[in-house]
Amino acid sequence: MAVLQPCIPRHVLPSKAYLKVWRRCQSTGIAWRSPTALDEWVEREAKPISLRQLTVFGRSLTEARLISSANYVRTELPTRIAHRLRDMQTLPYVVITNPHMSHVYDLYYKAFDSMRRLPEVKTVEENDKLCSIIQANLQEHLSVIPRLVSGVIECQHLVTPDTMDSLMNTILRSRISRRVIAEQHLALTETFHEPWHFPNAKIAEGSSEFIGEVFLRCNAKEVVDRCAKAVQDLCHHTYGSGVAIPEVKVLGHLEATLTYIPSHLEYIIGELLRNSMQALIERRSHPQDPPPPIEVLICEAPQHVIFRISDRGGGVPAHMVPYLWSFVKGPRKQMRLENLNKVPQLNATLQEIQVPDARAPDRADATNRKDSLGSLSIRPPDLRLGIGLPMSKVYAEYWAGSIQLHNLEGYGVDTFLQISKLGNKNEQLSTRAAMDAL
Amino acid sequence: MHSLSTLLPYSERTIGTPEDEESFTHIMAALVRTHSNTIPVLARGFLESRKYISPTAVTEFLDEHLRARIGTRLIAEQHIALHNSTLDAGPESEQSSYIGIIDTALRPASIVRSCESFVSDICELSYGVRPTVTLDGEPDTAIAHVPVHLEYVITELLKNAFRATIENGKEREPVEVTIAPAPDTVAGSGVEAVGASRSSVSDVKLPAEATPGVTIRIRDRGGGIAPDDFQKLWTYGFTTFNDREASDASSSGSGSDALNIISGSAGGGSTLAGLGYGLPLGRAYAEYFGGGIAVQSLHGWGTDVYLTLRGVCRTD
Repeated sequence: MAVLQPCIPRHVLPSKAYLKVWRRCQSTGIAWRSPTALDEWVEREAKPISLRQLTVFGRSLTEARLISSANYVRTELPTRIAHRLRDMQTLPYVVITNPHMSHVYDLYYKAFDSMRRLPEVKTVEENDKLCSIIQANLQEHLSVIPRLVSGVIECQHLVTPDTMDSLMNTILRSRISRRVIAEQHLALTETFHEPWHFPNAKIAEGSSEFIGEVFLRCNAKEVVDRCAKAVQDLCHHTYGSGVAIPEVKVLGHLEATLTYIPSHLEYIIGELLRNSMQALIERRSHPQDPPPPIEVLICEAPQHVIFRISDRGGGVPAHMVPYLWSFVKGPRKQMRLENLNKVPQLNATLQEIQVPDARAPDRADATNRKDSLGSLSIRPPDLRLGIGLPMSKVYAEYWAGSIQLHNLEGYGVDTFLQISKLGNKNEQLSTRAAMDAL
Repeated sequence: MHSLSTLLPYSERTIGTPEDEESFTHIMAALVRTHSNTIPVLARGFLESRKYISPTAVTEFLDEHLRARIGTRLIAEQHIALHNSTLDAGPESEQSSYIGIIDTALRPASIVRSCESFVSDICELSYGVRPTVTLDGEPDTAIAHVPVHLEYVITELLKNAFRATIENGKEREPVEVTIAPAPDTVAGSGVEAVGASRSSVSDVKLPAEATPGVTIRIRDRGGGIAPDDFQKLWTYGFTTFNDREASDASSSGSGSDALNIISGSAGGGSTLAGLGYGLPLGRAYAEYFGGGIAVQSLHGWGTDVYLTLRGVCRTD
């Protein structure tokens, strides 16, 4: 595969010609940015963290700790984003000229460029300034997922689908990781500024189960129930009141708890339940009968919590099976592209799939704290984007979990979601070495 | 060696007359009979020589060898069955759904039932309890397949499920078997052969068009499989039975545990339980015609096993 660096070395072209090319590139909106600025950052490896590190760090929050967290964020974010920029720079030139891809590239480069110039954070005021920059970036980057998916689908013939899928996985996993770091820091800063927060005061046991974004005792059954309710409301709205909405039965170890970031878990379970419910409503072999319930089994193993979601929605047609986990492959690309164009922003949380008037219940009631991003981007509930499963897999694997799907064609689907429950697993980042090995 | 020297002369001349055919069939039938005990002998051999050979090498060899064996026996038995059917071509054979040893209207549900009673008998004998099986999905589904293969696979899977369920103290919880017919896909709709068939043996050409298949899910409450064991699931010779029991089973076939003397009633398997051949060999049988077995463990709860089978031809 011919790899073109999207840069024009000065010594090759006379300066006039260089300027001409440069101007043309400017007018077509393609970013010609020097890769050398990245070099220093790409040499640094990302420092993986675990949920437990996040919680231990946030448990007794002091000014010094907050400042040190700020500086970790300040250097870690540009490091991680630099790796992804380099990944994109090594793509064939034609891929990056795609408007969607270059949009994402520009966004990433802008973020990288603004972050790398930030001076060391020394005071709480400087930290507040950092937070507002992070906040603005988080908001601006909501357009990344739909643009990226559109981009890879449009570029499907330019590189092999497997290359595209692995690029998507790397970019999205890294994106989740950066958002976790960023949002965790924002949440810690918010906690620090709460009127009831006294520096050095230990948080009393049980008074708060949230440390930043991490929920220490996330009850598996409650998460499933909450997602089920949200998805049922969604289906009710989409299909009208005349359609029977399937029940969700939760069985197994109902007391199981885990340390996790609830929005991640809710996204995965929400997507899986949505698939099941839509299949049950639309593709059942006996539509006249009341829909059979969706069974969710929760199994608590020593290190994991396993969710088994069984539906009887007719299963997946055999010819779709090989494409289930791919962002790029498979039929129905045109429909997906059209739908993606209708979604300007995507945060990939359950909350954003909202019914326009009746707000899906968010988790604020259970935890009395507000999700900083949950409701910022809203997409119509019935748009099929075709990224629910691969996206869920990225989320699940990020904290060393897994998703497996067993198809009983003509009958239903069993999906197994395995989540590490102790929070002691490091985030699973793709290293550059692993990327190059492909 | 013996088989080769017996059969070699026949490859040099064509079988022209019915008499030739008959004598050939008799010789072949004798060979099939002498070989029926091959697997326990092989298993025993590998058990005794496991100090000298790595498990991966054993698995590699047996995968290839046993898959070839399935094929060889299938061809031989098919011919013998066809031969026999020409002898007693009575009126009743007109309605028979059998073509040779292939049943074109095989109901997996009835196989499950017969295997259930067989395995339950043995459980009652050794543990004093009889686990039960509930059938759901669409039990009336019929596919075209080789009954002895299916019987063998289901017996092995039920044995695993029953033993786990009993040892986990959940014998009151039935083993749930779900039979899901894959819809008859229209030929030529761009359907590709699906499934991770990792078989290196490509002697079998799958039918070009998709034939109706079936997915059988066997769901037990036997506590699942420990993650360490899960890695070794498909290794020949891996068993949760201890070594002494295993060698008992292979040497005498009458070990203290009655599960060990199970034999897949017709031809498929023999004294295999506790040798650790059930799952990998079951998978070899399932994959032979383009199906497969997937195992999903819920450690601390139970195990779901997904057996997919493709019909060997279209049912009418």
